[in-house]
Amino acid sequence: MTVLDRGEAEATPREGWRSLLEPSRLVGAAAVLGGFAVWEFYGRSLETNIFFPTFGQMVVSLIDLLQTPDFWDAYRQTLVPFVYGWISAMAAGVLVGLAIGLSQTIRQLTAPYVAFLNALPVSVLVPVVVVALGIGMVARSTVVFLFAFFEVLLSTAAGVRYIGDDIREMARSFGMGPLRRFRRIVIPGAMPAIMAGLRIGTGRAVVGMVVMELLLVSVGVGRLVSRFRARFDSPALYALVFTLAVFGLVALAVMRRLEVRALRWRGED
Amino acid sequence: MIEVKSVSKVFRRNGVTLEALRDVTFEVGTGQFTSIIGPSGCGKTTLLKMMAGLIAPTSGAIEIEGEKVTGSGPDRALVFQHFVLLPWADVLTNAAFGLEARGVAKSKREQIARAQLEQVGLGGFEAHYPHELSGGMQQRVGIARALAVDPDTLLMDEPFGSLDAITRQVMQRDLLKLWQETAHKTTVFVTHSMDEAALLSDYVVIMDTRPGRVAQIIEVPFPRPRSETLTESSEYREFTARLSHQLEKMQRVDMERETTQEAEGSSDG
Repeated sequence: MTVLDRGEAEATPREGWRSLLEPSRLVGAAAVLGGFAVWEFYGRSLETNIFFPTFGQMVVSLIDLLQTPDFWDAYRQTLVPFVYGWISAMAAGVLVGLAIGLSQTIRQLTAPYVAFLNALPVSVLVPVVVVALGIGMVARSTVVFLFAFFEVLLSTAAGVRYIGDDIREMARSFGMGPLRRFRRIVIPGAMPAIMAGLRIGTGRAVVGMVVMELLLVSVGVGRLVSRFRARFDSPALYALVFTLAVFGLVALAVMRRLEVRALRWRGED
Repeated sequence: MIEVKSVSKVFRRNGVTLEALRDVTFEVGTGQFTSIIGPSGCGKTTLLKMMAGLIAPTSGAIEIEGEKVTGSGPDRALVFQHFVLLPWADVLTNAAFGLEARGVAKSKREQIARAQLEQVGLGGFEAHYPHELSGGMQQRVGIARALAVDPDTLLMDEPFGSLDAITRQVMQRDLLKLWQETAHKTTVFVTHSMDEAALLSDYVVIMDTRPGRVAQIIEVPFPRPRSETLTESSEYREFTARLSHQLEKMQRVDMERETTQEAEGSSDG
């Protein structure tokens, strides 16, 4: 009985850093540590670590990597087109999504294009972008943009369309004009879908960033990847992939936090 | 005065025509409470939305104080069956919504909304969100929102239809008190419930189905101000029994018509 009681007490939400001690978090942390342990033992059991490093080797390599200017330069070169592509995809996706959601004419005009581009794997467009725009900053921003744009657009358009007819009718019955209706009904009504679109779109933008680095003649993180691969420096290669994963996780965590903040009215659920 | 002048409505959807209303004519006197009652599908909600200016009649017209209804107007306010509150806005913002739609300044509209919330018994709930309230409380916000714009005409579309029996009874009695204590607003009240109509109304318009039309208009014989103990009197019970009987008869005739039609339909095929 007392064990059960304590278990329940621990499940209640806590403030600040203490939430890290919640059982669900501890289980997650244990799973991660377990994964690292399996990695370490498997790495040690191999005859050579040329192709697969141990976890320890990866960590050592990561610490070295973080101290080289090359690493930070590479990220800088990768992140600038990422930020351009990501921000423009978020902005354009929301704007075009709102237009498509609000206007039946625009919806019908764009439907074939949206369906076509949505059915196409975006990676296929990378060679097209290279032929059209080369491999410069514009081309690389465009790849990131293309990866994220449709996700944001589709989610936003769906969010606008699924605002209940009853709410629109209610606003109309009180004589609310179109501009106020947009600000007070359409935007907050579509906000959950917009935020979900932005979060998923951010994940897609990170994918686009990596694809662009690997498929285009690379200058940033991609060039480091090629260099480590050529040298069979597998600890450094794994360390680099690890930093990309951390970058993706951080980007998604930031977006999730923004989402919770924007949708605070929904309460704790 | 609201004059419904030989209003007809035909809906066409996917090639199927549905005659919702045929030649409906009646009047609602200024300062009177009139209920529209009838089996589902008799077009009573359609008729109410026409008075609100949300649906246009196919032929005929509705005139309010001699002026033809062509759209929503500040002289009317609707209360909806499913409340239709903005889930992302707190109670105060919801109650002030009608005023906001009309461009009333924030401090002014919140002051009015606060007073209305107080009047419907929701003082102290201003900062709550709709999902934190029971159905009855949500509808109180809906009523406060309608009263806040100080309409000449109050249009209520089965406002207690989605509440449980006890809540419903409390809401009926509170509405009776509120309506009698404040300036008698011209009210059109769509309902399924005989008891509700008899307690609240001056006149009951009974409608029949297929197509929706006025079957009978009955004056409710109980003097005002009425108290909630009215429901315990034998006169009240006799009156509601008579109304129920009439409605039941209509519903049975309608059902028989449907079965004959179906039988005819199947013999055709």
